[in-house]
Amino acid sequence: MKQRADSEKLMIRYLLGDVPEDEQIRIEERFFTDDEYFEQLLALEDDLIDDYVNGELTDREREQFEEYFLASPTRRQRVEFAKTFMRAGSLLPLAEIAMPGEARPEPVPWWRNVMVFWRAQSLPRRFALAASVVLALGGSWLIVNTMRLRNHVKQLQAERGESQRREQELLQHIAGLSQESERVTELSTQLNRERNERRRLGQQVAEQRRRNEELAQLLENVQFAPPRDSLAFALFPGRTRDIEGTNRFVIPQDVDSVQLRLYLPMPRGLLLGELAIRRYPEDRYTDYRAVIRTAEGNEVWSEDGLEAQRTGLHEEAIVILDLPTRILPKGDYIITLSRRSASGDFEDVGSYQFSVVRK
Amino acid sequence: MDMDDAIPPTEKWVLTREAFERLLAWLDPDRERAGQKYEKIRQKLVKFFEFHGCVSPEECADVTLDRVARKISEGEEIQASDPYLYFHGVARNVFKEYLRESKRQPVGLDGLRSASPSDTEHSEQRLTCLSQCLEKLSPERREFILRFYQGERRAKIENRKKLAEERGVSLNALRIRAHRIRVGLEKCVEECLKKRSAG
Repeated sequence: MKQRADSEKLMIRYLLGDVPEDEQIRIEERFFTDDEYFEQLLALEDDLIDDYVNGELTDREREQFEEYFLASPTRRQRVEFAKTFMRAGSLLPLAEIAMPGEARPEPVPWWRNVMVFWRAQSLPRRFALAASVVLALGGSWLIVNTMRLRNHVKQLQAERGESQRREQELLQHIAGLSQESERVTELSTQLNRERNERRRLGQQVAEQRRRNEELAQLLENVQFAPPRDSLAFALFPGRTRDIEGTNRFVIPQDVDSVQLRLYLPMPRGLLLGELAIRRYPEDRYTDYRAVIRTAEGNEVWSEDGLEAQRTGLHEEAIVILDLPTRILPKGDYIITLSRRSASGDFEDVGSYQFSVVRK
Repeated sequence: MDMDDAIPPTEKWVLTREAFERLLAWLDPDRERAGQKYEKIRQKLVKFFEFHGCVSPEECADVTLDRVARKISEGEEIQASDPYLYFHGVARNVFKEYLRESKRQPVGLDGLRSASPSDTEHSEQRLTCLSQCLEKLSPERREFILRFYQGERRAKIENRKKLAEERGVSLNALRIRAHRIRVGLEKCVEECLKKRSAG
């Protein structure tokens, strides 16, 4: 029997019918009024039954148990349950709890058999069995672990190869990007250079235009220094102005002749800014014809075989007409300038309008 | 408490609904709490008669309950400091009457062995039923009850101490919990055996 507190020993004695009546009544009154005490008594009853089944009762306790405790069919039933429970839990070898005449138990779950087998072994044999199991498990573990590690190494190698391949691809990609970047930089530099060049040319063209305008204005307004008894006027092709316009020439009465300077029209496509480097075509300086008519269409003067000549800073081409003032009374006039072509026919070069005012 | 005027068990009396309601009202004004007290008293009465070796402790417990209910329904004023103690007094009288009538004596080990052939015949069925009942327990309760009964002698004591420490409860509380699970298993096994014998 286990070591128990006095109160528990008293309860055990009560359960075995080994207490005087007054003590019995005292215990019963307590378990009727105290639920915890009652449950403790029931738990002790379980222990008592288990101890009996396990053969842990003293001789006296065992006698009292069999004579008093087992008198109740209900209790006998509980003892049977305890035996079954002990067998199920393998807490005791089956032989110890088997009642006489009991058949061998039917197959039970494997773990119960293992437990029963284990408990049936002597201590040295248990050690030997345990060592064998440990060795077997350890060996199995080593084999499995080695295989697992090998697989792991293979997997790592494959991953490493893949990683290297991807690294190479990335490096190539980066190199390609670098080349592309250099090309873009070069193109960008070239583009900037061209932009600057275009800007410079634009400025040059604008400057040239400005200068040409100034020059034209200057030419338009200038009155060439005439000979002592003549005047000179500049005329540009296609400029149609009214009588109040700039092409109104005032000719004093005492002037005998005037000089008209007809600026030849520039060939199509020739930019003003290019005049300095692209002169009027050399093969177009000969064989001009000039015809002067009044506004009504009456021819007042004409001349063939005229030649163009260069003049001014930019060597513009002009045809000079020296006219007597007597043929130019007050009125409006149109000069038609033509040039003989290779076929012998005259082709118009330009027309010039002007008005004459006599003083 | 006057236990001498106990009604002879031979006298025929049937518990009526009204008498039962009065018994509950006497136990507690709250019907739900009264019902709980009634169940607890009946459980203790059954164990009382079981401890005293009654062949059918449940029948004796019901006789005791009926007798108290009859006294209350007949308007008898019960002078008791605690209804539980009153029930205990009546139960002792019922047990004395039981002994007188049955003149039954406790049986010895020989009697047990000869009286329980059916148990030995069904021991294998009992084991099968127990296995099924264990499987019906929750994993936590199953582990607990198996661990509680693990080991022998000193090892078992140490095992229970360790189990109590793990759960932070006293050994007594541990035993009580094991008892409750065990009672449930016992009932489950008995029901299983009844089904098997009926089938």
